[in-house]
Amino acid sequence: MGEVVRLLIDLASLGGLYAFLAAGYVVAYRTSGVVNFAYPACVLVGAYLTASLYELTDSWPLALAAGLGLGALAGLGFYLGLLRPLTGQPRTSAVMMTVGLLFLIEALARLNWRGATVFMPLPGAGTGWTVSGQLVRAHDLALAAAPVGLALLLTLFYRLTRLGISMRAVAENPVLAARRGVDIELALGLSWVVATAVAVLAGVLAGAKGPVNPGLVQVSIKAFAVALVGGLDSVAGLVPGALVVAGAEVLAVRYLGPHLAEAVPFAVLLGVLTLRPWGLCGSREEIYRV
Amino acid sequence: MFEVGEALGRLWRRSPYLRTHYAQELQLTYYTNFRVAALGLGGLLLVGLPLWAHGYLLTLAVFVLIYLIGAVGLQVVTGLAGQLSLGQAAFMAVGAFVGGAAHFHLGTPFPVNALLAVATGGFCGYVLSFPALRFRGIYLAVVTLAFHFIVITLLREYQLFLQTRFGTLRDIVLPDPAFGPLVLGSDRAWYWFLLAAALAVLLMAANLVRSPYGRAWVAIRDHDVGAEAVGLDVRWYKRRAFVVSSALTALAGCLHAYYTHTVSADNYGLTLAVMYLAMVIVGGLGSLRGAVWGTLFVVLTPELLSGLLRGTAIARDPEAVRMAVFAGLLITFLLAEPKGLEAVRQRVWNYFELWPFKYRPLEGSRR
Repeated sequence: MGEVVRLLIDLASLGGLYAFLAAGYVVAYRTSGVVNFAYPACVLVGAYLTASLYELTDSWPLALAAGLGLGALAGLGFYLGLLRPLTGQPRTSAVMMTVGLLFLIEALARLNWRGATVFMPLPGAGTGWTVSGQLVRAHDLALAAAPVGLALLLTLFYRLTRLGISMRAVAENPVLAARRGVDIELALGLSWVVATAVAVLAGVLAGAKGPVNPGLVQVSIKAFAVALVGGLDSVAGLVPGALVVAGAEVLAVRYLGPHLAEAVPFAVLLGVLTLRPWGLCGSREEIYRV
Repeated sequence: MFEVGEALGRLWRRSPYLRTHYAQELQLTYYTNFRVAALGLGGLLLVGLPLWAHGYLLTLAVFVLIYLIGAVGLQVVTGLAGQLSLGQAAFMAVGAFVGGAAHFHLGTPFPVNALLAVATGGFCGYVLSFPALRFRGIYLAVVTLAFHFIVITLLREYQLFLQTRFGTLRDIVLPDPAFGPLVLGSDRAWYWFLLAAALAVLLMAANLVRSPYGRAWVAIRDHDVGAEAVGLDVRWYKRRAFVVSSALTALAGCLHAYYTHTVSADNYGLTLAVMYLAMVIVGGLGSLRGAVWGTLFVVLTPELLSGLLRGTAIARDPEAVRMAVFAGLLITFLLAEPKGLEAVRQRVWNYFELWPFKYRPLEGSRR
C-alpha cells in the first residue's frame, strides 16, 4: 500500500511538472509551427531569475510579477530579433535558430550563475500529510493541480477570446488569416511572449518539486517528449501525455534503475511517434510525412 | 613581345568555362595551371605543417581533421539529403565505444577496431533510418534527439557495467594505435595519418556528390515529392544517406577516442551535436568546401576567444564559453549569411576575378 501511494505521489508531482513544462512547447507550436528548443534554457533562467528577484524584494507576488514581465519581454525580443528575420525561410532554419538559442542562453546562465543549486522558499514548503507512512507534500498536490488549471485557462483562451481564435487561424493558414484581417505579427509575437512567460512560471513550479539546478534543462527537454506524446498542437493532450511519460519514467526508475530516467521518456516518444505520429490527442493533418 | 605574353597568358589561364573535350565534363574538378599550382602549394603547406607547428597548434590541427570527417558525415545527411540530424554526438559515441569495447574485450588492433566502428556506425544509422524515414523536418530532428539520449544512456550503463564487473576506471583507456610496426605515438604522426584519412573521406564524398546517389540526395532535399515522381526510391536513398553519414561519424568518433586515449559517454553531450550543426551551417549547407571552412572556423574560434579571455572571470568555465561561441556563430550565420562561408568565399572570389567589371559569370559555369 505504502509503495503504491509513493508511486502515485511521484507520478502526480512529476507528471504535473512535465505537463506544465510541455504547455510552453504547445503554445509556441500552436501558432508559429516552430518547435521552440530554446524553451528549456528559458525555464532555467526563469527559475534562477525569479529566485534572485525574491531575494531582492522578499515578496512572492512581486517577484513573480517581475519575473513574468521580464520573461514576456524576452519572448518579444526573441520573436522580433531572431525569428521574424527568418520569415520565408524553411521552418528547419527557425528550428536550428531555437537550438542555437538554447545553447546560448544555457551557456550565459552557466557563466552568470555558475551552475548554482538554488532552493526556492515557496510558501507552503513545510506543509505535508502522512498517508500510509508516505509523506504527501502540499507542493505535490499543487504540482498536480497546476497544469490542469493552465490547460483549462489555455483552452478557454483559444476557444472564447478573439485573440485566441485569431491565433488558431494563424496556425492553420497564415496567409489566409492575414487576408482576413488578422494581425499575424501580433498573434505570432504573442505566442512567443506567452511561451516564455509560461517558461518562467514552469521554472518556479520546478522550484516546488525540488532545488533548482542546471539539470532542469534536461528535465525540460524530457517535457518535450511529453508535448509530442500528447500531440504537439493539443492542449487537451498535455495531461494524458504527461501521465504516460511520467508513469513510464517513475516505474522504470523504481524497478529498473535510476539511470534510465534520462532515456525512458525518449523511448516512449519513439514508440508513440512510430505508431501514432500525431500524438495521443493531436490533429492528424499536422504531420509532415513522406 | 606582346605575342609572347599573350601565348604565355593563354597557356597559363586555361579556361574553366570553355570545355573542349568530353573528358572535361567527367572530371571531378577543373584544372587551370593557376589552380594546379595553388593546390600544389597548399598541399605542400598542409603536409609541411608539423615541421613548424608544435604542441598546441598541432593538437588543434589534429582535432580539426577529426571533426572534419564527422562534419563531412553531417554534410551528407543534412546538407545533401536535407535530413536535419541532431544525432551526431551519439554516432561519434558509438564509434568511440565500439573501438574501445573491441580493444577491451577482444584485444584486436586499431585497424580492425576502426573498421568495426565504421560498420557498427553504419548499422546504427540503418536502424535509426527506420523511425526516421517516417518523418520530415522538425519531427526528424526530434527522432534523432531521442536517439541521442537513448544511445548515451545505454553507453553510460555499459560503462557502469564495466566498472562493477571488471573494475575498470571510470573511462576505458586506449593505447596508441598501431599499424603493425607503425605506431601513431606523436601528434606529428597523427596529423599525417589524419590528413590522409580526411582527404580520402573528402574525395569519397566529392565523388558521391556527383554520383547517382549524390544527385538523388539533392533531388530529395530540394523536393522529395518531385523526386519520388521522377522515379527515385526516396526511402532507399534516404536510408543510404543515413548509413554513409553515421559510418563516417563513427569513424571520427573512433579516431577521437584513440587520439584522446579515453572512451567516456560524458565526452559526447548534446553540445557536440550542436557544434556539428554549427559547422555545416557556418560553412554552408550542402557544400564539402563549406564543411572544411565551417570546421576550421568553429573549432578555432573558441580557442582564439579563450586565448583573448585568459585571466578574466569568464574564462573559468571554458566549456560554457565554447557552448556560447557555437551557439552565437550558429545564430549569427542563420541571420546574416544562411548560405555560409562558402557563399562569402564565392562572392569575394568573383569580385576579384571579374574586376574591374561587376557582372556575374553565367550561372553554374564555375564548379
